[in-house]
Amino acid sequence: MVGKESLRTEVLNLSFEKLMMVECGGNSGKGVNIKAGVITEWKDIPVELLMQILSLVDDQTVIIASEVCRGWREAICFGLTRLSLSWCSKNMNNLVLSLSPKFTKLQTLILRQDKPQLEDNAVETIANFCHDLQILDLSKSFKLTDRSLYAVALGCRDLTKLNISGCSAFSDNALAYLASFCRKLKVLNLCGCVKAASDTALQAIGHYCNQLQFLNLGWCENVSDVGVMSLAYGCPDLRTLDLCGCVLITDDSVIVLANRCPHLRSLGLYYCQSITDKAMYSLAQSKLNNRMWGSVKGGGNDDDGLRTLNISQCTALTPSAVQAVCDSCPSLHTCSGRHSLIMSGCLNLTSVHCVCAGQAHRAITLPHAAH
Amino acid sequence: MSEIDMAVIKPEMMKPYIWLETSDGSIQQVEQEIAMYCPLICQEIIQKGMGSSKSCAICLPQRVSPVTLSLILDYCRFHQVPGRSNKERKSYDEKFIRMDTKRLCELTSAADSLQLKPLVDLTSRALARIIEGKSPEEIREIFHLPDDLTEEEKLEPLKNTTDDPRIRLLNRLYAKKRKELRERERLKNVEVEEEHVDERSVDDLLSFINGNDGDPKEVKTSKNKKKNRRKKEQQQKNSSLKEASEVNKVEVNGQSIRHQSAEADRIAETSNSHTEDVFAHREFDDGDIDDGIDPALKEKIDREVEDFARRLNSDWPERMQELLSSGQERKMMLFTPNGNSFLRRNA
Repeated sequence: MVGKESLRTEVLNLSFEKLMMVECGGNSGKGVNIKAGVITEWKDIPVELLMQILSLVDDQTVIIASEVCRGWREAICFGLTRLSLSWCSKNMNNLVLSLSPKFTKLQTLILRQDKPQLEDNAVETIANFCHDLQILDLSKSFKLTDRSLYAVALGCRDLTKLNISGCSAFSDNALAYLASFCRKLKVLNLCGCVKAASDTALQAIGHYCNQLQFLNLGWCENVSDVGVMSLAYGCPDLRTLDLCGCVLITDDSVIVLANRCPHLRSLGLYYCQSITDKAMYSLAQSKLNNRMWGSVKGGGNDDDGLRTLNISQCTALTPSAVQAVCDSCPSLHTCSGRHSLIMSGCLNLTSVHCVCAGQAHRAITLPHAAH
Repeated sequence: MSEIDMAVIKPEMMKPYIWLETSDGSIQQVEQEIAMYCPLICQEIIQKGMGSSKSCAICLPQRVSPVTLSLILDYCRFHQVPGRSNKERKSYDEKFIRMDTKRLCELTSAADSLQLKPLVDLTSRALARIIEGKSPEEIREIFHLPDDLTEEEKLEPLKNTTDDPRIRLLNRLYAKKRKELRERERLKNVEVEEEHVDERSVDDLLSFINGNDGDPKEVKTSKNKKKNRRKKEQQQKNSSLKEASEVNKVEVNGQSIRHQSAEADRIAETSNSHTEDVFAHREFDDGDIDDGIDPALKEKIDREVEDFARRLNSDWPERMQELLSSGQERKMMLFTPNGNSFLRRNA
């Protein structure tokens, strides 16, 4: 074994000796012109290759690289599709104003801020130049007003993901306007947009954004059943809906969601204290119906049904109703490490167990019963 | 030779070779097994049946020179052997990319043109490590790239919130005043020390006090002259400051601090020596100017500066207040050198 190792090391060393000799005598006697056909100026590097190299460095370095020479500037302007400026803690607005007109091929732009910096003029510049944008993150941009949403609506119609969580100044009219233009939206985060996320806006989203799959309405206190039902009817492909803190929501919303959104995989109802057993039974029933219908069609899938359900602080629920949901959705887990049924604050639901936890429980208790 | 010996030698002797032609026209014979590790060569052999003889050698892309081809073949030769551990491969790769940047660039380019993805990834990572954390100038130097971007094309330097001409002007005035005061204090102390060793007699002092030596009127007129001259100088200074602040105001409101107008240049050139003095290219450290200043005098200066700030910045009350309150700690931000003569001189 030791001999083998030393042999390999020898081979390695030989290989490197050979490598070092290549330049000195690799082509001896052939009169080869070493420089022929080689890129002597590295500005001639193919765009794809430069972009591959720059994809391995951070966004700051990419911006610096665009200042190197005209060749690199053009390559980056033409080839850069993703940029994040979240690292920028002071001058994000100036940076966006400066970069947007240059990086016009951007498809993903992350402008998340810890302290608000972005202003409307920067977002307007983005909308004027970056027409290929598909993913835009403006979260925690407290300084932005409706002007920004109107600009995005007109300039970035191919948006599929928009995160405006924490942008508390936006109005529902502006959001409705955006929905009417950005009809390809699949992911929309409105967490904390209390003014923007009203029933009017949700009706517009339900009407125009029929491809919507993910919607976060966390702590949007003005949202009521009217808005959620409009969503359920208009967006049948909805997979994730977070209604945490939407205190006006009642069973009606959940019933419509259960019946109209067969692909719903995650539902957040934290602090929705008006939710009762009726909603839970409708969820359980709809999942059973879906599974039966799936098996009839020959496309039954065990993974169908809810995978995440947050009913924390929903104190009106009883164990039997929640257990019914748990039984109908095998992907919901109460067991440690796989917590996907979240019930904190519901002390009366401690008896609810998922399928696998129930099996484990039975496996422990059965031997005792035999004795 | 026995049959067993033949069996051992035969595969080695019958090892198939292919012919490759590099960008400079030179033709090399390479083991097919190793060359096939490159997808482009593999494609040429399988699909077009090329490389079997010298006359129909596989023409390699323009970016593949004989030197880089040798390197690539060495890489393929090592990685093509099946029994090697990941640790060995990693160790080899680490040593393999230890070469000068120029050769690394050529290798990356050649590997890319031969569609040899593992080597492209390896060399790209190495180049990314070289680029990361460098300034544009350093990158240009490393890769021998031309500095062909115009000033307008280059990214505008980022402006700090305090990096405004008016604030800088105020900072400078504040610091200058403090420095003058300190100087005055020092001179006063020297005078006091000198007064202690006065050798004159009592009679001499009395006659000096009574003013017998000279005409008191004459003394008075000289004093008035001095007063008038000082007043004139102060007015001149104020007017030049106002002029400068007006220029700066235009620039700030126009949101074009870097690209100054011709008007600003003209004012800068025609401004008198006092303005030059006020805007002298100096970085004042406010911290060490405060030491040993009479609080009453300090208060007086603060009032004066506040008054100046009010005149200069009626539209910025909060920011000025913030600046004045933290005047001692804050170091002045220097303006970027890309601006034109006026701001460059003032920075």
